[in-house]
Amino acid sequence: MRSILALSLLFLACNTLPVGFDQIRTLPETRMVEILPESIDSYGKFVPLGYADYLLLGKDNQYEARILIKFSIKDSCLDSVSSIRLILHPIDSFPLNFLCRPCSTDWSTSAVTWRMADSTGQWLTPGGDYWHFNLGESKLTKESTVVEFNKDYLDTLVRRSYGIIIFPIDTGFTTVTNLTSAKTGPRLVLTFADSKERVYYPVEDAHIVDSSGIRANPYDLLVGSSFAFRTYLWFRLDSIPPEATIARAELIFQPQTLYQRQDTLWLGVHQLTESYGSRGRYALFQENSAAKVAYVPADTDTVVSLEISRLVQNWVSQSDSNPNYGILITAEPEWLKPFRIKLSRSGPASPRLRIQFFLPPEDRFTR
Amino acid sequence: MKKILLTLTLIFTLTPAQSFFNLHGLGEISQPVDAWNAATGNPFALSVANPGTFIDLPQTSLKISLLTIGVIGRQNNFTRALGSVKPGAFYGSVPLPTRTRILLGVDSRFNQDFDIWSESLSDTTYRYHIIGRGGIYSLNAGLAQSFLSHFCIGAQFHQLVGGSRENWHFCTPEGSIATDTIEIDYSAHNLRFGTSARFSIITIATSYDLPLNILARRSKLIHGVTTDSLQTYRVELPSVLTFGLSAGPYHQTRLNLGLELRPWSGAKIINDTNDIRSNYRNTWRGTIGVEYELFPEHPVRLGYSYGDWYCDNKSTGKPITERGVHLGTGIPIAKFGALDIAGEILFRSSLTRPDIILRETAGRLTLTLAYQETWAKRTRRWGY
Repeated sequence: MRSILALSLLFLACNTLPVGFDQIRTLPETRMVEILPESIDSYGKFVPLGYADYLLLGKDNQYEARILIKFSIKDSCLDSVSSIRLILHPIDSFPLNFLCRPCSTDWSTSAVTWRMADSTGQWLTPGGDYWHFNLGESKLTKESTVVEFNKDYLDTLVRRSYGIIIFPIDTGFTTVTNLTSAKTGPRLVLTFADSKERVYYPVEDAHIVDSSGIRANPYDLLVGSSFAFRTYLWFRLDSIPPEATIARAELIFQPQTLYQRQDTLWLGVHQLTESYGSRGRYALFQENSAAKVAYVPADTDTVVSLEISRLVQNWVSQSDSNPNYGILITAEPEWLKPFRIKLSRSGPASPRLRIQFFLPPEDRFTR
Repeated sequence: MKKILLTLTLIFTLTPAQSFFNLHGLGEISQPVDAWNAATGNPFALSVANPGTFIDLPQTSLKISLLTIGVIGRQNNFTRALGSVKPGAFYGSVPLPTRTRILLGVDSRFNQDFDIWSESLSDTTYRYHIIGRGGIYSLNAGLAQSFLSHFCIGAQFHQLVGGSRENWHFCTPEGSIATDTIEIDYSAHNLRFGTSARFSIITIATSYDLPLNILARRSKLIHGVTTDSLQTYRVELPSVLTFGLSAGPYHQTRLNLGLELRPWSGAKIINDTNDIRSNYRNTWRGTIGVEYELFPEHPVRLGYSYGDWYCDNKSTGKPITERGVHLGTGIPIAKFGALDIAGEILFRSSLTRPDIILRETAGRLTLTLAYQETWAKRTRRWGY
């Protein structure tokens, strides 16, 4: 009996039922506004893909992806090498022929792109500089693929090269594991005359992607991955008073899918921290996305919605410390397998910001 | 029994508010917190808050009270409980030569504690959780003069201070996403006059509060930042008149009657630019109580009270009515004074919509520790 009494009182005390709320005659005013972007732009950019979860290899009429892998091989013991094998572990089961060549220019994982070898230097030839002979060829098919290298080029590979570039031969794309996979990452196995083997693991790897096959209209608003397409939007928020609380702010649009290599496309919204008007495509933005969403392009009517209440709240209520420079819609992350979607500039499918906000409550004397 | 009391106290301590009606007006009027008086219906004119009730006061008297409040609100088949434990009041009276007394005290005038959840707003799952805390408190100092062992007059100065803080939490299923805060500071002062007369077993008492002019300064903190300029209100409350009649002891029985008149329909709320309709009304509160000494020095007290709140329920303009059943007892403490205990159950109700009534049952437990006579004993021991 005592327990029932105690539990009953505890239940009554802890519940959140709306007892007495309807006594408040004047509730805080709630408004809904839909704002169209006042400034729109889009640009494409080669972005470093070195921190992707995998290495992408392949090509078609729009994109081409190559793999770079760098090993640190000691040159003191090369005379007795009897064979060299590169071992790769495919993630996809798509069969793809490829060939390997030694890279002739140094590069870095953090900055390498189709155009840039590192943060300061470009490739002499976009897509990577290499010595024009084949180290080996093979076909990615199974759980692991072994490429037997021509040992005549071992000296060049060790002393005059900066790793290996892997070129796709066939049309199609596949992925292989990278150095972050401890057991199944790429490795180079040197076999010596006494049948002993030495295994070398990559010190750097990356893939680079070209999009020269794309014939995009410069006025198209595109969002894409691998070769990054980003869309810039700026919304005027003057109609929302600074004391408003943003209950919900949704960025909504109906994209048209132009190209995809995966079923689910991930999109993100990043807050710009510099003026796009003065810095253009070089305007800095927050590395962490303000919102991201998985989008399955089932049909053209699919509406994408990104919830950016916190971002809009900061713009509205803390405009001094968080100036509204606009947002970028990007692939999230941009190293995903290539996809490209197009946003409308006008009409019902175009991007818009739907905001529900409410004004501060009245005090006890006026409500 | 001890465990049940402990559990109840714990629950009331954990839950955070007092009345669902406290969001109206200046909140609930706090009656003088004295368990002796509360147990007989809380007749104001006969309480220690009336400076004119001290016909007899041979020794110094100190009273300190603890108030435990639990409230259960019911509306639309929904039931919710709130509660709090807090110090209630302190009253002290010290005799001087020529039958003059110095009166000191701290008590509460208005209570503004409440805790309310909204229904889901429109077609969303967003909700408001509004938590109000605070009230208006009074620091009292006065003098009372007794004549001929039959009459007493007194006057008391009240410095009113206090404040309230309302937090409007905007909640989603993920938690509170924003909080707007309304803070109000109150200050005022006024005078209370009281008088009483006793003939045989009949005592009559009355008190009169001068009109009260409360200055309320309001500020709003939106998203943690003061974004709204200060707003100043002046709340003008007309006077308060109370009457009391006590008959006894007669055959170990005492009868107490009380009446409070608050002609507050003329109350004004004035801000910087214009007058705001106060929605206050003329109200009265009547009490009747009986004390019966069942065993020597172990009285049983019982009371009933009825009255409307001074403010309308703003959603309908209808009154908030209150009926109360009061009971209690006193336990003498040797060489100290007494511990008085009062339990009250108050039934409040008001129409919040044309066909919906909000009913509130408030339980109040008051413990008053009354300290007396110690200084007189010291005097004898030291041989002066």
